[in-house]
Amino acid sequence: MDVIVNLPLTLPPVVVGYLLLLLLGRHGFVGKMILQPLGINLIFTWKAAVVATAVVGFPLMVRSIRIGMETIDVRLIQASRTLGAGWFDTIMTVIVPLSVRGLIAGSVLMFARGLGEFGATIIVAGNIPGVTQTIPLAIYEYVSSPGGDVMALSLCVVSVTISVLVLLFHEWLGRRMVRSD
Amino acid sequence: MELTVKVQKQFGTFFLDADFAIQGDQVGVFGPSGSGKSTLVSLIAGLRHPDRGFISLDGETLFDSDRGLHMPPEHRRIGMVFQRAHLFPHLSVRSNLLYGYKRCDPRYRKITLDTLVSVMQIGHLLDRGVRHLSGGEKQRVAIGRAVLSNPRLLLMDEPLSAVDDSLKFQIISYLKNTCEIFKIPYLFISHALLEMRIMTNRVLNVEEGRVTRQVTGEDLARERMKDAAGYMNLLRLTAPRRINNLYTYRWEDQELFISSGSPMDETIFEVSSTDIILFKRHPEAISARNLLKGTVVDIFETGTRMGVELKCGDGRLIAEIVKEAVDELELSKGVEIYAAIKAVAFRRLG
Repeated sequence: MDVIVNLPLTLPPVVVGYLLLLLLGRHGFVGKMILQPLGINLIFTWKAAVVATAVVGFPLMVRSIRIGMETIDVRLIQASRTLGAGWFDTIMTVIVPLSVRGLIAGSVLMFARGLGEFGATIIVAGNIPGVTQTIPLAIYEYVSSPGGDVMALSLCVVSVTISVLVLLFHEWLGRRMVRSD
Repeated sequence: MELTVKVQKQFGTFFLDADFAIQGDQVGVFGPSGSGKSTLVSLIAGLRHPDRGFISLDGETLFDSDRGLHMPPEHRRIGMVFQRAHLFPHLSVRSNLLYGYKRCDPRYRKITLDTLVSVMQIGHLLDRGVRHLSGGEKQRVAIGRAVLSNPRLLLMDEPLSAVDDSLKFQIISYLKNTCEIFKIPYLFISHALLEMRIMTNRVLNVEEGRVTRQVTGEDLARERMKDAAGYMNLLRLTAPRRINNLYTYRWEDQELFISSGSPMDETIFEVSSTDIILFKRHPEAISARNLLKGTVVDIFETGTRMGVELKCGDGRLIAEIVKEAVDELELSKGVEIYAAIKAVAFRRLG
Protein backbone atom coordinates (compact mmCIF):
# COMPACT_ATOMS: atom_id res chain seq x y z
CA MET A 1 0.00 0.00 0.00
CA ASP A 2 2.80 2.34 1.00
CA VAL A 3 4.69 1.55 -2.19
CA ILE A 4 1.65 2.09 -4.40
CA VAL A 5 0.83 5.43 -2.79
CA ASN A 6 4.40 6.66 -3.03
CA LEU A 7 5.17 5.28 -6.49
CA PRO A 8 4.09 8.44 -8.39
CA LEU A 9 6.66 10.38 -6.36
CA THR A 10 9.60 8.35 -7.62
CA LEU A 11 8.43 7.45 -11.11
CA PRO A 12 9.08 9.98 -13.89
CA PRO A 13 5.79 11.88 -14.43
CA VAL A 14 5.80 10.86 -18.09
CA VAL A 15 5.66 7.22 -17.01
CA VAL A 16 2.78 7.98 -14.63
CA GLY A 17 0.98 9.76 -17.45
CA TYR A 18 1.52 6.89 -19.84
CA LEU A 19 0.31 4.33 -17.28
CA LEU A 20 -2.77 6.48 -16.64
CA LEU A 21 -3.38 6.66 -20.40
CA LEU A 22 -3.19 2.87 -20.59
CA LEU A 23 -5.51 2.49 -17.62
CA LEU A 24 -8.09 5.16 -18.42
CA GLY A 25 -7.95 5.03 -22.23
CA ARG A 26 -10.57 3.47 -24.44
CA HIS A 27 -8.91 0.05 -24.24
CA GLY A 28 -7.69 0.38 -20.66
CA PHE A 29 -9.14 -1.60 -17.78
CA VAL A 30 -10.84 1.30 -15.99
CA GLY A 31 -11.72 3.07 -19.24
CA LYS A 32 -13.43 0.04 -20.76
CA MET A 33 -15.09 -1.43 -17.67
CA ILE A 34 -16.22 1.66 -15.79
CA LEU A 35 -15.91 4.90 -17.73
CA GLN A 36 -17.32 3.82 -21.08
CA PRO A 37 -20.51 2.21 -19.75
CA LEU A 38 -21.12 5.43 -17.81
CA GLY A 39 -20.52 7.51 -20.91
CA ILE A 40 -17.53 9.33 -19.46
CA ASN A 41 -14.61 10.23 -21.65
CA LEU A 42 -11.59 11.43 -19.70
CA ILE A 43 -8.65 11.34 -22.02
CA PHE A 44 -7.72 14.65 -23.66
CA THR A 45 -10.15 16.66 -21.56
CA TRP A 46 -9.43 19.00 -18.64
CA LYS A 47 -10.66 16.25 -16.31
CA ALA A 48 -7.72 14.11 -17.36
CA ALA A 49 -5.38 16.95 -16.41
CA VAL A 50 -7.01 17.04 -12.98
CA VAL A 51 -6.65 13.27 -12.53
CA ALA A 52 -3.00 13.34 -13.62
CA THR A 53 -2.19 16.22 -11.28
CA ALA A 54 -3.99 14.53 -8.40
CA VAL A 55 -2.17 11.24 -8.87
CA VAL A 56 1.24 12.89 -9.08
CA GLY A 57 0.62 15.19 -6.10
CA PHE A 58 -1.15 12.68 -3.89
CA PRO A 59 1.94 11.11 -2.25
CA LEU A 60 3.08 14.56 -1.06
CA MET A 61 -0.27 15.11 0.60
CA VAL A 62 -0.26 11.67 2.21
CA ARG A 63 3.26 12.14 3.51
CA SER A 64 2.61 15.49 5.18
CA ILE A 65 -0.62 14.35 6.78
CA ARG A 66 1.06 11.18 7.96
CA ILE A 67 3.95 13.08 9.52
CA GLY A 68 1.39 15.35 11.19
CA MET A 69 -0.52 12.39 12.56
CA GLU A 70 2.53 10.45 13.66
CA THR A 71 3.59 13.27 15.94
CA ILE A 72 0.34 12.92 17.91
CA ASP A 73 1.03 11.23 21.23
CA VAL A 74 -0.78 7.89 21.34
CA ARG A 75 -1.62 8.64 24.99
CA LEU A 76 -3.88 11.49 23.84
CA ILE A 77 -5.84 9.01 21.78
CA GLN A 78 -5.98 6.59 24.70
CA ALA A 79 -7.09 9.43 26.98
CA SER A 80 -9.96 10.32 24.67
CA ARG A 81 -11.04 6.67 24.47
CA THR A 82 -11.11 6.26 28.25
CA LEU A 83 -13.06 9.53 28.46
CA GLY A 84 -15.85 7.93 26.48
CA ALA A 85 -15.06 8.89 22.89
CA GLY A 86 -15.41 6.16 20.27
CA TRP A 87 -12.80 5.79 17.52
CA PHE A 88 -14.65 7.99 15.01
CA ASP A 89 -15.30 10.62 17.67
CA THR A 90 -11.59 10.50 18.56
CA ILE A 91 -10.58 10.99 14.93
CA MET A 92 -12.84 14.02 14.54
CA THR A 93 -12.14 15.71 17.89
CA VAL A 94 -8.51 14.81 18.55
CA ILE A 95 -6.63 13.44 15.56
CA VAL A 96 -7.90 15.78 12.82
CA PRO A 97 -7.57 19.01 14.86
CA LEU A 98 -4.05 18.06 15.90
CA SER A 99 -2.91 17.16 12.40
CA VAL A 100 -4.44 20.22 10.76
CA ARG A 101 -1.00 21.72 10.21
CA GLY A 102 0.13 18.66 8.28
CA LEU A 103 -3.09 18.83 6.32
CA ILE A 104 -2.46 22.44 5.30
CA ALA A 105 1.20 21.79 4.51
CA GLY A 106 0.17 18.78 2.45
CA SER A 107 -2.45 20.64 0.47
CA VAL A 108 -0.04 23.49 -0.25
CA LEU A 109 2.65 21.06 -1.40
CA MET A 110 0.17 19.22 -3.56
CA PHE A 111 -1.14 22.43 -5.05
CA ALA A 112 2.40 23.58 -5.81
CA ARG A 113 3.23 20.27 -7.39
CA GLY A 114 0.03 20.51 -9.44
CA LEU A 115 0.95 23.98 -10.71
CA GLY A 116 4.16 22.64 -12.14
CA GLU A 117 2.79 19.35 -13.45
CA PHE A 118 3.93 18.78 -17.02
CA GLY A 119 4.85 15.22 -17.97
CA ALA A 120 1.77 13.30 -16.90
CA THR A 121 -0.63 16.04 -18.01
CA ILE A 122 0.69 16.35 -21.53
CA ILE A 123 0.28 12.62 -22.07
CA VAL A 124 -3.24 12.07 -20.72
CA ALA A 125 -4.73 15.48 -21.46
CA GLY A 126 -2.67 16.63 -24.41
CA ASN A 127 -1.87 20.27 -25.03
CA ILE A 128 -5.03 21.75 -26.49
CA PRO A 129 -5.11 25.55 -26.10
CA GLY A 130 -8.14 26.72 -24.19
CA VAL A 131 -9.08 23.18 -23.21
CA THR A 132 -6.27 21.31 -21.55
CA GLN A 133 -3.39 23.74 -21.78
CA THR A 134 -1.92 24.38 -18.31
CA ILE A 135 0.57 27.19 -17.57
CA PRO A 136 3.68 25.00 -17.92
CA LEU A 137 2.38 23.53 -21.15
CA ALA A 138 1.66 27.00 -22.52
CA ILE A 139 5.12 28.25 -21.53
CA TYR A 140 6.67 25.24 -23.25
CA GLU A 141 4.72 25.98 -26.40
CA TYR A 142 5.56 29.71 -26.47
CA VAL A 143 9.24 29.07 -25.82
CA SER A 144 9.49 26.53 -28.60
CA SER A 145 7.71 28.75 -31.16
CA PRO A 146 9.48 31.83 -32.60
CA GLY A 147 8.51 35.20 -31.10
CA GLY A 148 6.76 33.68 -28.09
CA ASP A 149 9.29 34.97 -25.54
CA VAL A 150 7.12 37.81 -24.30
CA MET A 151 4.13 35.54 -23.72
CA ALA A 152 6.32 32.93 -22.04
CA LEU A 153 7.83 35.53 -19.72
CA SER A 154 4.47 37.01 -18.76
CA LEU A 155 3.19 33.51 -17.95
CA CYS A 156 6.29 33.05 -15.80
CA VAL A 157 5.30 36.20 -13.89
CA VAL A 158 1.80 34.75 -13.40
CA SER A 159 3.36 31.52 -12.10
CA VAL A 160 5.61 33.33 -9.67
CA THR A 161 2.71 35.44 -8.42
CA ILE A 162 0.47 32.43 -7.78
CA SER A 163 3.29 30.58 -6.01
CA VAL A 164 4.09 33.53 -3.77
CA LEU A 165 0.43 34.02 -2.92
CA VAL A 166 0.03 30.34 -2.02
CA LEU A 167 3.12 30.38 0.19
CA LEU A 168 1.98 33.56 1.94
CA PHE A 169 -1.44 32.02 2.54
CA HIS A 170 0.25 28.93 4.00
CA GLU A 171 2.41 31.05 6.27
CA TRP A 172 -0.62 33.02 7.45
CA LEU A 173 -2.60 29.86 8.22
CA GLY A 174 0.36 28.41 10.08
CA ARG A 175 0.68 31.49 12.28
CA ARG A 176 -3.01 31.57 12.97
CA MET A 177 -2.77 27.97 14.17
CA VAL A 178 0.07 28.78 16.54
CA ARG A 179 -1.82 31.71 18.00
CA SER A 180 -4.99 29.73 18.58
CA ASP A 181 -2.94 27.25 20.59
CA MET B 1 -15.40 -1.93 43.68
CA GLU B 2 -15.13 -5.58 42.87
CA LEU B 3 -12.64 -6.51 40.20
CA THR B 4 -11.96 -10.00 38.87
CA VAL B 5 -9.12 -10.48 36.43
CA LYS B 6 -7.81 -13.67 34.88
CA VAL B 7 -5.86 -12.78 31.76
CA GLN B 8 -2.83 -13.75 29.75
CA LYS B 9 -0.96 -11.57 27.30
CA GLN B 10 2.23 -12.22 25.37
CA PHE B 11 4.27 -9.13 24.51
CA GLY B 12 7.43 -10.02 22.62
CA THR B 13 9.43 -11.85 25.26
CA PHE B 14 7.32 -10.55 28.15
CA PHE B 15 4.45 -12.68 29.38
CA LEU B 16 1.72 -11.31 31.62
CA ASP B 17 -0.30 -13.88 33.52
CA ALA B 18 -2.57 -12.21 36.06
CA ASP B 19 -5.17 -14.01 38.13
CA PHE B 20 -6.81 -12.19 41.04
CA ALA B 21 -10.04 -10.94 42.51
CA ILE B 22 -10.03 -7.89 44.72
CA GLN B 23 -12.53 -5.79 46.60
CA GLY B 24 -11.94 -2.32 47.99
CA ASP B 25 -12.01 1.30 46.98
CA GLN B 26 -8.37 2.26 47.40
CA VAL B 27 -6.38 -0.49 45.78
CA GLY B 28 -2.71 -0.30 44.85
CA VAL B 29 -0.78 -2.13 42.15
CA PHE B 30 2.78 -2.30 43.31
CA GLY B 31 5.89 -3.66 41.63
CA PRO B 32 9.21 -2.67 40.09
CA SER B 33 9.45 -1.04 36.64
CA GLY B 34 8.87 -3.54 33.86
CA SER B 35 6.91 -5.95 36.04
CA GLY B 36 3.76 -5.54 33.94
CA LYS B 37 1.77 -3.03 36.00
CA SER B 38 1.05 -0.70 33.10
CA THR B 39 0.17 -3.58 30.79
CA LEU B 40 -2.28 -4.90 33.34
CA VAL B 41 -3.88 -1.49 33.65
CA SER B 42 -4.22 -1.03 29.88
CA LEU B 43 -5.97 -4.41 29.70
CA ILE B 44 -8.44 -3.38 32.38
CA ALA B 45 -9.06 -0.04 30.65
CA GLY B 46 -9.62 -1.88 27.36
CA LEU B 47 -6.79 -0.10 25.54
CA ARG B 48 -5.21 -3.47 24.78
CA HIS B 49 -6.70 -6.91 24.22
CA PRO B 50 -5.61 -9.82 26.37
CA ASP B 51 -4.73 -12.96 24.38
CA ARG B 52 -7.24 -14.88 26.43
CA GLY B 53 -9.01 -14.63 29.75
CA PHE B 54 -11.73 -12.82 31.58
CA ILE B 55 -12.19 -9.40 33.20
CA SER B 56 -15.23 -8.31 35.18
CA LEU B 57 -15.96 -5.17 37.19
CA ASP B 58 -18.79 -4.98 39.74
CA GLY B 59 -20.40 -8.05 38.21
CA GLU B 60 -20.30 -6.80 34.62
CA THR B 61 -18.09 -8.68 32.16
CA LEU B 62 -15.71 -6.37 30.31
CA PHE B 63 -13.75 -9.02 28.48
CA ASP B 64 -14.28 -12.71 27.91
CA SER B 65 -12.27 -14.51 25.27
CA ASP B 66 -14.50 -17.61 25.42
CA ARG B 67 -17.57 -15.59 24.49
CA GLY B 68 -15.62 -13.29 22.15
CA LEU B 69 -16.67 -10.33 24.25
CA HIS B 70 -14.55 -7.19 24.25
CA MET B 71 -16.18 -4.05 25.54
CA PRO B 72 -14.47 -1.02 23.93
CA PRO B 73 -12.79 1.42 26.36
CA GLU B 74 -15.37 4.16 25.77
CA HIS B 75 -18.16 1.93 27.11
CA ARG B 76 -16.35 0.70 30.21
CA ARG B 77 -16.66 3.89 32.24
CA ILE B 78 -13.15 3.45 33.54
CA GLY B 79 -11.28 6.74 33.80
CA MET B 80 -7.54 6.99 33.51
CA VAL B 81 -4.83 9.34 34.75
CA PHE B 82 -1.46 8.84 33.08
CA GLN B 83 2.13 9.60 34.10
CA ARG B 84 1.92 12.89 32.28
CA ALA B 85 -1.18 15.04 32.06
CA HIS B 86 -1.81 14.42 28.33
CA LEU B 87 -4.27 17.27 28.07
CA PHE B 88 -5.66 17.99 24.61
CA PRO B 89 -3.41 20.83 23.41
CA HIS B 90 -5.98 22.30 21.02
CA LEU B 91 -8.61 22.75 23.73
CA SER B 92 -8.94 25.15 26.67
CA VAL B 93 -8.86 23.91 30.26
CA ARG B 94 -12.67 24.10 30.37
CA SER B 95 -13.09 22.05 27.19
CA ASN B 96 -10.55 19.53 28.41
CA LEU B 97 -12.45 19.12 31.68
CA LEU B 98 -15.77 18.76 29.88
CA TYR B 99 -14.51 16.33 27.23
CA GLY B 100 -15.44 13.25 29.22
CA TYR B 101 -18.46 14.84 30.92
CA LYS B 102 -20.18 15.53 27.59
CA ARG B 103 -19.67 11.95 26.53
CA CYS B 104 -20.97 10.51 29.78
CA ASP B 105 -24.50 9.13 29.81
CA PRO B 106 -26.67 11.79 31.59
CA ARG B 107 -27.93 9.26 34.12
CA TYR B 108 -24.38 8.78 35.44
CA ARG B 109 -23.55 12.49 35.61
CA LYS B 110 -23.29 12.97 39.36
CA ILE B 111 -20.22 15.19 39.50
CA THR B 112 -20.62 18.50 37.68
CA LEU B 113 -18.09 21.06 36.55
CA ASP B 114 -19.06 23.50 39.30
CA THR B 115 -18.61 21.06 42.18
CA LEU B 116 -15.37 19.75 40.74
CA VAL B 117 -13.97 23.25 40.28
CA SER B 118 -14.74 24.19 43.86
CA VAL B 119 -13.31 20.96 45.29
CA MET B 120 -10.13 21.07 43.21
CA GLN B 121 -9.76 24.87 43.28
CA ILE B 122 -9.08 25.23 39.59
CA GLY B 123 -11.63 27.96 38.80
CA HIS B 124 -8.97 30.49 37.86
CA LEU B 125 -7.55 28.16 35.20
CA LEU B 126 -10.77 27.45 33.30
CA ASP B 127 -10.37 29.81 30.37
CA ARG B 128 -6.67 29.37 29.86
CA GLY B 129 -5.00 27.37 27.12
CA VAL B 130 -3.36 24.24 28.47
CA ARG B 131 0.10 25.23 27.23
CA HIS B 132 0.34 27.98 29.78
CA LEU B 133 -0.18 25.80 32.84
CA SER B 134 2.55 24.66 35.21
CA GLY B 135 3.29 20.96 35.63
CA GLY B 136 1.27 20.68 38.82
CA GLU B 137 -1.69 22.57 37.35
CA LYS B 138 -1.68 20.34 34.28
CA GLN B 139 -1.82 17.21 36.38
CA ARG B 140 -4.65 18.66 38.46
CA VAL B 141 -6.65 19.40 35.32
CA ALA B 142 -5.94 15.88 34.04
CA ILE B 143 -7.23 14.41 37.28
CA GLY B 144 -10.28 16.67 37.08
CA ARG B 145 -10.93 15.63 33.49
CA ALA B 146 -10.91 11.96 34.45
CA VAL B 147 -13.08 12.53 37.53
CA LEU B 148 -15.60 14.58 35.57
CA SER B 149 -16.18 11.72 33.15
CA ASN B 150 -17.94 10.18 36.18
CA PRO B 151 -16.13 6.84 36.01
CA ARG B 152 -17.05 3.86 38.14
CA LEU B 153 -13.33 3.13 38.52
CA LEU B 154 -10.33 5.41 38.15
CA LEU B 155 -7.01 3.96 37.02
CA MET B 156 -3.94 5.97 37.93
CA ASP B 157 -0.81 4.83 36.17
CA GLU B 158 2.11 6.31 38.12
CA PRO B 159 0.44 9.73 38.10
CA LEU B 160 3.16 11.26 40.26
CA SER B 161 6.30 9.98 38.59
CA ALA B 162 6.65 13.00 36.29
CA VAL B 163 5.99 15.57 39.02
CA ASP B 164 8.60 17.28 41.22
CA ASP B 165 8.98 15.98 44.76
CA SER B 166 7.71 19.24 46.19
CA LEU B 167 4.46 18.98 44.21
CA LYS B 168 4.07 15.23 44.55
CA PHE B 169 2.47 15.25 47.95
CA GLN B 170 0.21 18.17 47.15
CA ILE B 171 -1.14 16.21 44.20
CA ILE B 172 -1.40 13.07 46.30
CA SER B 173 -3.68 14.83 48.73
CA TYR B 174 -5.70 16.26 45.81
CA LEU B 175 -6.09 12.81 44.36
CA LYS B 176 -7.04 11.14 47.57
CA ASN B 177 -9.39 13.85 48.76
CA THR B 178 -11.11 14.22 45.40
CA CYS B 179 -11.70 10.49 45.09
CA GLU B 180 -12.93 10.29 48.67
CA ILE B 181 -15.29 13.24 48.34
CA PHE B 182 -16.80 11.95 45.10
CA LYS B 183 -16.63 8.31 46.24
CA ILE B 184 -14.71 7.07 43.20
CA PRO B 185 -12.92 3.76 43.71
CA TYR B 186 -9.44 3.70 42.27
CA LEU B 187 -6.58 1.49 41.26
CA PHE B 188 -3.31 3.28 42.00
CA ILE B 189 -0.22 2.04 40.17
CA SER B 190 3.22 2.89 41.47
CA HIS B 191 6.66 1.53 42.25
CA ALA B 192 7.04 3.96 45.15
CA LEU B 193 6.24 2.41 48.51
CA LEU B 194 5.59 5.72 50.21
CA GLU B 195 2.88 6.62 47.67
CA MET B 196 1.34 3.18 48.12
CA ARG B 197 1.12 3.60 51.88
CA ILE B 198 -0.53 6.99 51.60
CA MET B 199 -2.93 6.24 48.75
CA THR B 200 -4.10 2.68 49.32
CA ASN B 201 -5.32 0.26 51.92
CA ARG B 202 -4.98 -2.89 49.82
CA VAL B 203 -2.10 -3.70 47.48
CA LEU B 204 -1.67 -6.15 44.60
CA ASN B 205 1.97 -7.09 44.43
CA VAL B 206 3.14 -7.60 40.83
CA GLU B 207 6.37 -9.37 39.97
CA GLU B 208 7.53 -10.45 36.51
CA GLY B 209 4.11 -10.35 34.95
CA ARG B 210 2.28 -12.09 37.80
CA VAL B 211 0.15 -10.84 40.65
CA THR B 212 1.94 -12.72 43.39
CA ARG B 213 -0.11 -11.75 46.44
CA GLN B 214 -2.40 -9.25 48.11
CA VAL B 215 -0.93 -7.28 50.98
CA THR B 216 -1.13 -3.84 52.55
CA GLY B 217 1.37 -1.02 52.15
CA GLU B 218 2.16 -1.45 55.82
CA ASP B 219 3.14 -5.11 55.31
CA LEU B 220 5.47 -4.13 52.49
CA ALA B 221 7.06 -1.37 54.55
CA ARG B 222 7.80 -3.77 57.41
CA GLU B 223 9.28 -6.33 55.04
CA ARG B 224 11.56 -3.67 53.66
CA MET B 225 13.03 -2.99 57.10
CA LYS B 226 15.21 -6.03 56.52
CA ASP B 227 16.98 -4.22 53.68
CA ALA B 228 18.36 -1.79 56.26
CA ALA B 229 16.31 0.95 54.67
CA GLY B 230 14.59 1.57 57.99
CA TYR B 231 10.92 2.19 58.43
CA MET B 232 9.16 5.47 57.88
CA ASN B 233 6.34 6.24 60.30
CA LEU B 234 3.69 8.22 58.44
CA LEU B 235 1.77 10.62 60.62
CA ARG B 236 -1.27 12.55 59.46
CA LEU B 237 -1.14 15.69 61.56
CA THR B 238 -3.77 18.39 61.87
CA ALA B 239 -4.50 21.78 63.43
CA PRO B 240 -1.08 23.46 63.29
CA ARG B 241 -0.29 26.30 65.66
CA ARG B 242 2.88 28.33 65.57
CA ILE B 243 4.75 28.80 68.82
CA ASN B 244 7.99 30.77 68.47
CA ASN B 245 10.14 28.75 66.08
CA LEU B 246 8.13 25.56 66.31
CA TYR B 247 4.77 24.30 65.23
CA THR B 248 2.47 22.19 67.33
CA TYR B 249 0.24 19.67 65.64
CA ARG B 250 -2.47 17.31 66.76
CA TRP B 251 -1.71 13.65 66.18
CA GLU B 252 -4.66 11.49 67.17
CA ASP B 253 -5.08 12.43 70.87
CA GLN B 254 -1.55 13.78 71.35
CA GLU B 255 0.30 16.95 70.63
CA LEU B 256 3.60 17.03 68.73
CA PHE B 257 6.23 19.74 68.32
CA ILE B 258 7.69 20.01 64.84
CA SER B 259 10.18 22.47 63.40
CA SER B 260 9.32 22.21 59.68
CA GLY B 261 5.61 22.93 59.92
CA SER B 262 3.32 24.74 57.54
CA PRO B 263 0.03 26.60 57.97
CA MET B 264 -1.88 23.93 55.98
CA ASP B 265 -4.69 22.29 57.94
CA GLU B 266 -3.63 18.74 57.36
CA THR B 267 -0.14 17.55 56.54
CA ILE B 268 1.56 14.20 56.35
CA PHE B 269 4.90 13.91 58.09
CA GLU B 270 7.36 11.06 58.07
CA VAL B 271 9.69 10.15 60.87
CA SER B 272 12.27 7.39 60.61
CA SER B 273 12.11 4.44 62.99
CA THR B 274 15.78 5.05 63.81
CA ASP B 275 15.09 8.62 64.96
CA ILE B 276 12.96 7.47 67.88
CA ILE B 277 14.77 6.99 71.18
CA LEU B 278 13.21 4.76 73.85
CA PHE B 279 13.45 5.30 77.61
CA LYS B 280 12.48 2.82 80.27
CA ARG B 281 11.55 5.52 82.79
CA HIS B 282 10.56 9.14 82.39
CA PRO B 283 13.74 11.12 81.70
CA GLU B 284 13.48 14.23 83.83
CA ALA B 285 14.77 16.68 81.26
CA ILE B 286 15.74 16.07 77.64
CA SER B 287 16.44 18.26 74.65
CA ALA B 288 14.05 16.38 72.37
CA ARG B 289 10.76 18.28 72.19
CA ASN B 290 8.47 15.27 72.02
CA LEU B 291 8.20 12.71 74.77
CA LEU B 292 5.39 10.22 74.31
CA LYS B 293 4.26 7.61 76.78
CA GLY B 294 3.40 4.32 75.12
CA THR B 295 2.89 0.60 75.43
CA VAL B 296 4.85 -2.01 73.50
CA VAL B 297 2.44 -3.97 71.31
CA ASP B 298 4.90 -5.92 69.21
CA ILE B 299 8.60 -6.71 68.95
CA PHE B 300 9.94 -8.21 65.75
CA GLU B 301 13.29 -8.91 64.11
CA THR B 302 14.41 -6.79 61.18
CA GLY B 303 17.66 -8.44 60.18
CA THR B 304 20.33 -7.01 62.47
CA ARG B 305 17.97 -4.87 64.54
CA MET B 306 14.67 -5.16 66.35
CA GLY B 307 11.49 -3.33 65.49
CA VAL B 308 9.38 -2.16 68.42
CA GLU B 309 5.77 -1.21 67.76
CA LEU B 310 4.35 1.24 70.26
CA LYS B 311 0.83 2.32 70.98
CA CYS B 312 0.93 5.94 72.07
CA GLY B 313 -2.61 6.97 72.90
CA ASP B 314 -4.56 6.30 69.72
CA GLY B 315 -1.48 6.48 67.50
CA ARG B 316 1.02 3.83 66.54
CA LEU B 317 4.77 4.21 66.03
CA ILE B 318 7.53 1.83 65.07
CA ALA B 319 10.98 2.37 66.55
CA GLU B 320 14.07 0.42 65.59
CA ILE B 321 16.77 -0.41 68.11
CA VAL B 322 19.60 -2.93 68.45
CA LYS B 323 19.06 -6.28 70.20
CA GLU B 324 21.20 -5.31 73.18
CA ALA B 325 18.94 -2.35 73.86
CA VAL B 326 15.87 -4.59 73.90
CA ASP B 327 17.48 -6.73 76.59
CA GLU B 328 18.72 -3.78 78.62
CA LEU B 329 15.35 -2.05 78.60
CA GLU B 330 13.68 -5.40 79.34
CA LEU B 331 11.18 -4.82 76.56
CA SER B 332 8.33 -7.19 76.03
CA LYS B 333 4.73 -6.88 74.93
CA GLY B 334 2.67 -4.77 77.30
CA VAL B 335 5.60 -2.91 78.86
CA GLU B 336 5.16 0.83 79.27
CA ILE B 337 7.97 3.02 77.95
CA TYR B 338 8.71 6.56 76.81
CA ALA B 339 9.61 7.51 73.25
CA ALA B 340 11.54 10.70 72.51
CA ILE B 341 11.51 12.34 69.08
CA LYS B 342 13.32 15.55 68.18
CA ALA B 343 11.28 18.30 66.56
CA VAL B 344 13.63 18.28 63.56
CA ALA B 345 13.25 14.53 62.98
CA PHE B 346 9.89 15.04 61.27
CA ARG B 347 10.02 15.52 57.51
CA ARG B 348 7.07 17.21 55.93
CA LEU B 349 5.64 15.56 52.81
CA GLY B 350 4.16 18.24 50.57
